[in-house]
Amino acid sequence: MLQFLDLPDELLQQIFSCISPRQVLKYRQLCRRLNQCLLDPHFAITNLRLHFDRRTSLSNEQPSEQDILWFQWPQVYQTVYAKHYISDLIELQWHLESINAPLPKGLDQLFQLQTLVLAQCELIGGIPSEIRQLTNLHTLVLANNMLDGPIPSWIGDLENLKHLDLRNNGFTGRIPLFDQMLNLIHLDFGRNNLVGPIPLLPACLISLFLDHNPLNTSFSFPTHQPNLLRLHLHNCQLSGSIPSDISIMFPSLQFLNASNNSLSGSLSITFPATLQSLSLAHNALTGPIPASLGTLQNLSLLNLSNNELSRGIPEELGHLQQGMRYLNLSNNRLSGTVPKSVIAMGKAAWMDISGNSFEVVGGWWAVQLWLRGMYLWGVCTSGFGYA
Amino acid sequence: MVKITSSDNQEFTISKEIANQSVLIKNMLEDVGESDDQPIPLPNVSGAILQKVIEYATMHKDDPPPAPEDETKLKTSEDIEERDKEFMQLDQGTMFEIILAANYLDMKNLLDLGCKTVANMIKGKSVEEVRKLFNIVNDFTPEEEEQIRKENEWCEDR
Repeated sequence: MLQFLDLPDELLQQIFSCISPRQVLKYRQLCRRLNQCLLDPHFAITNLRLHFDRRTSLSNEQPSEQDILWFQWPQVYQTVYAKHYISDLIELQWHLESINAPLPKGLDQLFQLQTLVLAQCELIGGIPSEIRQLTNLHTLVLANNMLDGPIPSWIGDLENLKHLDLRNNGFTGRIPLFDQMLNLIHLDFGRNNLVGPIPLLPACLISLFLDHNPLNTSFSFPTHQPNLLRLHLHNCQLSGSIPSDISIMFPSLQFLNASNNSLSGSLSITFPATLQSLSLAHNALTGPIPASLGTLQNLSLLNLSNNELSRGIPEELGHLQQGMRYLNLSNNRLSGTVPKSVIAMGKAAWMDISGNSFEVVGGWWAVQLWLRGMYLWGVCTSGFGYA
Repeated sequence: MVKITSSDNQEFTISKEIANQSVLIKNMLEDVGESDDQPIPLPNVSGAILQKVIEYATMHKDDPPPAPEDETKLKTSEDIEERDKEFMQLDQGTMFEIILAANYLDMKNLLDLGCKTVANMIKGKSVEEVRKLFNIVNDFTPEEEEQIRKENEWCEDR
């Protein structure tokens, strides 16, 4: 009697193609020959064509069931699906719950793609080199996944890229040289395992996030960044001093966070006049708080807590009364009297100057002064007679 | 009328509209011309199977020709006509012979029917059940089997 496996491959494939691509691949496990038959690209084409319509919408919507299968199928299916079903996509911005799979094969078929956003999908593995073919990409966001391996230097060839966000993955190795990316304005490599030094970066960058990486280097940039507004370098194992030419390096800087490092040396440098937020907490900075900080008219956040700063709080800091929203000078070695103008800041700002050694009027010696908002302001002023 | 002979030399005489359901026979008839009286030899099909195939073709001789967009239309293996289901109530061996014959004779509808019927026998069954059904021997090494099993985790419960 004629047996099932006496049929030629072509007919076995025709039989299996009647079974949905959702289930048919489980029959790869039957035997070697059928495994081969089911992994044949021609079979994948037929099987998909018989069961799935071509995607009709070209942009940003919820992924269809087959889009999700794309991540789970074997590579042969992934390539066929990308080529025949989604190659017209311009924007791929899907949220996939716990997909726990690598980026699928066939991404290079999506050559019109401008936006690729797959954040928080539990993607694993590395960044496939197929993405290199996507020369129209302006946004690449693979944040909050479990990707690892090095950040490939060929990303620098994606010259239309404006927005590159690989935050919160397990990328290792050095930060590649991206100086040729003449459109890159937002670069976020925060929360990875990257090491320093900080390479040459494109001059067009507006925001740079390298926080939470064991860069283990100094706070130094190969060249100045004229357009940089935001710089996050906290928790980066930075050592050495803050560059004294910081206002030349970053003439437009508005937000600087370099807290939780091992920065040492003095703060007696000129900061960019554009600064709105300066956080250098949890370092090993020494010397006085420079009076020049009082000239930063736009400063609304200043956190110098947990350093080894000494001497008094300069009177000039009180000039910032108007805009200051957050002032934290706690846990330093500050001494002397707190200028009235600074105390007055507590009216409008969250303020903490505790953990220092200030002299206080009214019989309080070396009191830990801790002002939080209006309520405490009231309590403390009546106690200290500053009103 | 058209004469055809099977591999075991049984001769069948069928009407032209039945004969034309096989693209193979249709093309042969066009090649040899109407006048030829010689039976068409079909050395790949036995008399018993040819009998079944003629039975199917006779049942479907009045069907409208398939619409051209049929190829791209989504095809589900559930949409089998009742009379075709009954026709396919056969032992496995005969069923596979018919699939082979339909392929050889180039009879798309019968080939589709055969493939869908076998696919329906597979669908929903576990790998082990299908192996048993069709006498398939697991020839993977344990490592290969484990590898495929891992790659297939996503479709286990489907």
